[in-house]
Amino acid sequence: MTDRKDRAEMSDERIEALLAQMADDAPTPSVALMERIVADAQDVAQAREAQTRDRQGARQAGAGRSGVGQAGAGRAGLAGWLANLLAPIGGWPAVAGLATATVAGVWIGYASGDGLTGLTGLNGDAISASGGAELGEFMLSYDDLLGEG
Amino acid sequence: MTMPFDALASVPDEALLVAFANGDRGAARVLTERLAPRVFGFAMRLLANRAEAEDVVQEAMLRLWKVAPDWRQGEARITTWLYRVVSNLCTDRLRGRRGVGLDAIDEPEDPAPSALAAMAEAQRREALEAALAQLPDRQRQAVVLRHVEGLSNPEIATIIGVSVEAVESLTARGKRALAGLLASRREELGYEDDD
Repeated sequence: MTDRKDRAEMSDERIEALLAQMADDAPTPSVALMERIVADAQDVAQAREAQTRDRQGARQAGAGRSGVGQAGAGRAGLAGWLANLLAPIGGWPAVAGLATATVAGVWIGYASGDGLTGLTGLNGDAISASGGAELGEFMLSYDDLLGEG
Repeated sequence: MTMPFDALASVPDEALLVAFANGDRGAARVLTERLAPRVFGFAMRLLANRAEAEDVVQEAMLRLWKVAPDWRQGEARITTWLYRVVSNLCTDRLRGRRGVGLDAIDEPEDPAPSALAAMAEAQRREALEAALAQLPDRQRQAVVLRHVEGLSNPEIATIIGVSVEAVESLTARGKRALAGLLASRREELGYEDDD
């Protein structure tokens, strides 16, 4: 009887041993759960890839499409070429981060030049008499913003 | 780039997650097979309800898939992170259960028929699970993570969000509480016949 009273409460070691046995009896997840988890992974991966594709597409479309004026008919192919050129360095948003002074310089160049009607500059011909539109020669989007060309 | 499935077996968790973020679908399956059973066992200990435990584990793994591109290697172990998410999700569910009583807890499975020893063992297991269910949430988490999942105190501290000292205190109090709860059933469960 005394023994029972002495052992009225179970020892820490005993409890730990019981808990360790519980570890051996670990409940296992169902196959259905495992498949749902893997399916979720596929969905997340697909959504992520679709998002990446959309962003790349939007970047390319944005480089050839103006935010203000209308793109000229002959620009589409060249706009695509420029977009491809700019894509590795972050596309239009990266180039648009140039210092304001540079943009001002472009505007000054345009304002004093004859204006652009085409991209003859890319073929080696002079684009404007003043020669101050060096950025505008290569930045079609700037061209859209700066004038109705 | 996709690695051959069997070559993935020796790749660390973090590398698999990065591979998944880069499009390797096979990596997700290997991670699932490694991680889901572990945290499922943990969730079951906390919730004692299979359907709820499955929901929690699926949600936790979904969060892992979504965080994959942002995972910064070397900052935390994936298992620690996952245990923490499961712990938080379980705590949310348990709070929502307040007032529901023991109805939300699954009926214990029938013990194996015939062998008396097997029946006694099953009864003890059920008694331990019932006792665990009666512990305060944090004590239960600490006790399960330490003595069932086998994690270290510092890791448990990260998972639960308390200090290491608090973990030691929680596990000590939890075990005392279990001992007290099981003591009342000692004779019935035949514990006195052991030792």
